[in-house]
Amino acid sequence: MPPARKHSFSSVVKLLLDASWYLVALGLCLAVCLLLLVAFSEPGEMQLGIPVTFEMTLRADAPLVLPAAVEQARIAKGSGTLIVPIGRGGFLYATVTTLIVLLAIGLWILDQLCAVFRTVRDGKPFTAANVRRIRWVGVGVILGEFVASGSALFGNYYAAGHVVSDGVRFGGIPIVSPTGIMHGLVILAIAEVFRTGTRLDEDQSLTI
Amino acid sequence: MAIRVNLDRVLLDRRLSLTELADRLGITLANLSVLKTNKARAIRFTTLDALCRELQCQPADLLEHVPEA
Repeated sequence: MPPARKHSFSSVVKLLLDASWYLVALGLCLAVCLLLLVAFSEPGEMQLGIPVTFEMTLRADAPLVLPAAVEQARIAKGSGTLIVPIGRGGFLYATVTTLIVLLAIGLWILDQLCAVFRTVRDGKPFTAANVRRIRWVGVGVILGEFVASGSALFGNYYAAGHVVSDGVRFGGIPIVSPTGIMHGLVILAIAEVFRTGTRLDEDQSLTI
Repeated sequence: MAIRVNLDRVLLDRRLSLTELADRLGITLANLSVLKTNKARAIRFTTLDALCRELQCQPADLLEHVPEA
């Protein structure tokens, strides 16, 4: 297979991947710096965004002016980010450490994709190493969805124990995004295509 | 593999070296070596035709079916 041309689509994707890699690496460095900062100094007032899901009962305090207004309605599965001021403590350490772990996983996934695109540029994408890389990326995407749901569950638990608001009830089990799972499955299917491609490529190379 | 390539035996009968045959056929020595050592997965009809023509033999002289145990 001939190597990818310099200005081909794969080169553009490689450029985007490289840019993403440097951005995530920068984010990881900043997160580590933040962890060191909160560990060895007294930070000022900080705010933290926590992903939460909630139920909200809507009440019409003002006189109803709409002819067909509904008086009792509620938001059943709302989701958003709860911004809370936090001080130095275990919760902050746990949050920053989780952020570092997630960024490290993201950097590893980008590293795997960069390695795949290096082989595409060299004209030898069908290798057992690429099958393994793509398969792990798929598994990583699916696991990432569960981690995101887990962090929302933790956020709900924290919000339910620390935040009181009339008409709003934090809680419920966050639903794992079917779109994210589907993305992971698509990547796993591509890994299988690569596995078959690798076998065919090997057959081809041993056909005299 | 149940198919054995008897290229080494035919080459010995013709007193030809693998390098010389590779030059005559225009096939790389590496590929011919893969064929000779029975590492090939498949052989093209064009390659078989060229081999038979150069070695003045039939496909059956080159290929042999060996039942697997």
